[in-house]
Amino acid sequence: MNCGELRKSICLKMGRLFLSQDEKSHLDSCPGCTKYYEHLVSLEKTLTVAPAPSLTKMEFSKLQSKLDSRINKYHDKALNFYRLSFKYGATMAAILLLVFASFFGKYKFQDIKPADTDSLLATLTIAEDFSASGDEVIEEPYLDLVIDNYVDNYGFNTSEMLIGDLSDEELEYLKNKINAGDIL
Amino acid sequence: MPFLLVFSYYRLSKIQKAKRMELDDKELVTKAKSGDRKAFDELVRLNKDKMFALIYRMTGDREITLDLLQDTFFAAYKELGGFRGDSRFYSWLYRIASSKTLNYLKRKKILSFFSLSAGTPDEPSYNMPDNVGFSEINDRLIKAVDLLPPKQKLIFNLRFFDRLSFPDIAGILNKGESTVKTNYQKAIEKLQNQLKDFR
Ligand SMILES: [Zn+2]
Repeated sequence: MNCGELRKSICLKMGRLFLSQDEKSHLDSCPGCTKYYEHLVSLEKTLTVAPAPSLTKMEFSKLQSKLDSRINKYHDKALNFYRLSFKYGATMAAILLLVFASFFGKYKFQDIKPADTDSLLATLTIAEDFSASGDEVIEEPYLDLVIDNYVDNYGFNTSEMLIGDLSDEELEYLKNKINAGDIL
Repeated sequence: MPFLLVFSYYRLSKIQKAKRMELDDKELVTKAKSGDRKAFDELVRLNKDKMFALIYRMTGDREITLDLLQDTFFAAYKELGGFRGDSRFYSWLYRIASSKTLNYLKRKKILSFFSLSAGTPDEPSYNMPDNVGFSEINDRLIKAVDLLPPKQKLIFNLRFFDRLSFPDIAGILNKGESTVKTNYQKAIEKLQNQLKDFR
């Protein structure tokens, strides 16, 4: 095991630093790597001084109630969709029936009583009311889409680019997109 | 000899506990999938702190962390049917939380680029006690961690604090294991550079 291999190996163990027999014997004979190792140990210690951040009881109950109402809304929305499709289905069937009736039996269409037309209109109105209800949940996929699109078109190939922060080119591209009104 | 016995008992109970947790997870997921809201609530309760810690370390803002946490669990609820159980439930949650958080950071970066958001700096996400002599090093480290590129910071957090394995992190981020390792190493080296002057 040479110095480079050893340093890479112990670097990857950061967070749970322990040494294998091989690594121990290398350190015994290499002051440079010993210094490197001690440095990592002190970094690990410094970083783990603080307790892990966690939710307070109040924050958790706030989270629970918000999540609850969001899930309930989501279910209501799904339920409304079924109701809506049922209502529209009924309306469509009524319209088809009307068209069918007017097409194949003109004399019968004239016989339809005003009350029937009223009930048909009522069905339509209810269906419209339902279309107005339902909370719109706005998802935000645009940014990902734009960035993915950029990756596809300009193909950053190295993992460094993908793993790293937004590059100047990405920002420039996004700036143009935003100015063109494509996102945000 | 008695020490060895105690030790092996301790290890055994730890392994059993881990196995039991895995079983609990699976059972709860199955129940939640079939529409059991209590089971889902229990999954939220069991995983809330892990996810909170990760998001908070990434954003440094409690309010935003709560919003992203809510988004994460809501997305999990909606997509639960698509969770096949190939990985542990918390890995799947980490994946959702990671992508929500990275999206938030991207958006924030773009907004700050256009100076649309007021430039109030977030509180440091790595609060450390003010031990005498430690504080200067800590300050530097806090800044250095916050300055890591988002995905490198995420890899650092998942590995260092959440103690996930490299294959797990690679799965969560949908990246190669060697890419993840390289980025972890780079993050550590950057942090290490901050300590150099104190040697
Ligand atoms: Zn060496």
